[in-house]
Amino acid sequence: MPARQICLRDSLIFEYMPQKTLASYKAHLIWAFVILVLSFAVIAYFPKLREDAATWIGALSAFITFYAILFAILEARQARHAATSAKSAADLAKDAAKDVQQRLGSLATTKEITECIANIEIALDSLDANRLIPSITIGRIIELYSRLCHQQVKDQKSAEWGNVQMLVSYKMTATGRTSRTHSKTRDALLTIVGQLGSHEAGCRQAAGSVSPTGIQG
Amino acid sequence: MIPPQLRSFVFQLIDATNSGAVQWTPGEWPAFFCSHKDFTIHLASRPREYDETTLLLMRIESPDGSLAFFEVSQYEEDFVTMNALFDSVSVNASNMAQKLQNFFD
Repeated sequence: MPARQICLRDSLIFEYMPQKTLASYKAHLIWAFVILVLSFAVIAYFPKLREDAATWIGALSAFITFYAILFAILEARQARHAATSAKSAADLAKDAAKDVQQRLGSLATTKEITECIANIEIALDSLDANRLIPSITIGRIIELYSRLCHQQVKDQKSAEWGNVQMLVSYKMTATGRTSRTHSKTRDALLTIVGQLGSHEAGCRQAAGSVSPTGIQG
Repeated sequence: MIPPQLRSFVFQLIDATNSGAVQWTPGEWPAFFCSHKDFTIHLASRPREYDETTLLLMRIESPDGSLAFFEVSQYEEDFVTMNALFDSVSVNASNMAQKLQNFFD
């Protein structure tokens, strides 16, 4: 492998490795200094520890062991802290993903509402001009409205269900030669526009008021 | 024509409409719809585009969303049956029988 690639790989590994903080090094250094001072103090206070080489080395080994235990305790604490931070970072990432999904859902709904209202405008213009509403337009309105209010449309006692049935009845009776006012269809279309207007306001609010942490404001 | 599989259903629907067991709602004239046991049925009349023949159309939507649709023209034998249904439905949807109860008082 070329040296350049190795360097790049190593730098990437280094980048994604958990980084030691300056505070963690500082803790080790402070404790090393404390143990050193303590060991000197103890050796100075107890002259018997300096009597021969074996006792001196034994005392030194005891302090080194004590420092090693302290070092291990500090490392364990830091590892536990890092694990907690990683968990909270994962939770934050999950919240952010949920937030994005929610925003995208709201944007898709807003787009469908806009398209439905545009088709209703075409339908109302056609009725005003005593023209037949294009079959594709009325079909699209029924499709979008049924999708946007899918819960309400299932309820046969709801106004939404009645609106859909009114549009279906228009579709079944509409012919090219008509001078009728189609007042029921017009009323249903205007009711739908009103409902979608308030629905859209709710969607825009949901898409716009989500804070970066994923908590709705 | 009325599909043979639905012929007896149409006759039963006429009886249910006349007895008031099924309640119809006026749609965009001349169309009516009713919901019964999660089924939605539409009945409409319209002239055929090219020869002005009167058509009677029925649309049945089942609770699972599947649709059945048929039409009967005025020159078909089944038109008499469908026209009887249409007349019953128009009376049912307008509640005309009840409204006329005190007509001669």
